[in-house]
Amino acid sequence: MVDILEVIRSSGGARITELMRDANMPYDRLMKYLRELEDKGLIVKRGNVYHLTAKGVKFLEEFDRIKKFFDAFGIEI
Amino acid sequence: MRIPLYLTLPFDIGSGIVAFLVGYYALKAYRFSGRFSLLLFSIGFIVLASSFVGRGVVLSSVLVSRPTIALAKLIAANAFLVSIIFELLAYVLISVSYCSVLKEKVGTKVGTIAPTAIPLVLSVNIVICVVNLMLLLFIVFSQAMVYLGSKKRSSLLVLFAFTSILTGQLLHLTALLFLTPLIYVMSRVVCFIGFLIILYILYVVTPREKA
Repeated sequence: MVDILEVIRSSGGARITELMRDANMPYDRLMKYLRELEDKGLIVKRGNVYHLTAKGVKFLEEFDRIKKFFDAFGIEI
Repeated sequence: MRIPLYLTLPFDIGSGIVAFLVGYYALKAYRFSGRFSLLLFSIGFIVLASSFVGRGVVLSSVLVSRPTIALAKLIAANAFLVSIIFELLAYVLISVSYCSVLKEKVGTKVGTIAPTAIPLVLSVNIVICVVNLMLLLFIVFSQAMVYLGSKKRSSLLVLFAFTSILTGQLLHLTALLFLTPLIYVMSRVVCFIGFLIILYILYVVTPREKA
């Protein structure tokens, strides 16, 4: 799910086909995760494009910080 | 010169708070990734936090309630024994967590810690202290491997932090062997410096580091 958020962040908004290609995920699983992310308020769909919400941006910043901290210990998240 | 042991209070409580923060973030990371090594890491640091804070709380209660000297000594001795057992458990968990880190990085199975030959005449405190020292040596070695692989500044700082905690443990053992309160207080200070480095990494270094 974090992969999906990162793809949306790096491209400033992404369509389903771009997400399937860049997050390397089959359609069914991708749709399931997108629904979950929308329910959690981390992404929002405008037309055919998914965007990060403010909550999603904050979530990714927190994730990045935790990831970098544990990188220092050699632990990959 | 008599050294009051309650001088270690702020260092124990401070170290405990930082250890708890690390455990909390490890738990968050475990929830993101589901990696078992992160869960072990988290529990290890939370147990370590409990050890430091527990010792601090007991010392504070003795200070506040001012029981007889004999009772104070008995309470302190038992509290130290319990806290050092907790430390042992914590370092075991953190070492096991590093085993899986090394296994991923080096690609071979890293063996379990070999038992040391411990003379029977040593007291329980000293025995556990020696085992903690061996575990910390393994943790420092593992972190050195991590740093050599990544060459990141934050990894080097973690190495310094664990080396500081190891040095604190060595001083602790020295204090137990020679019964010198001053060296014991120094051991808590050195250990606390290690945790301060981890706090620095958490709030200063990693937000600035590039992914």
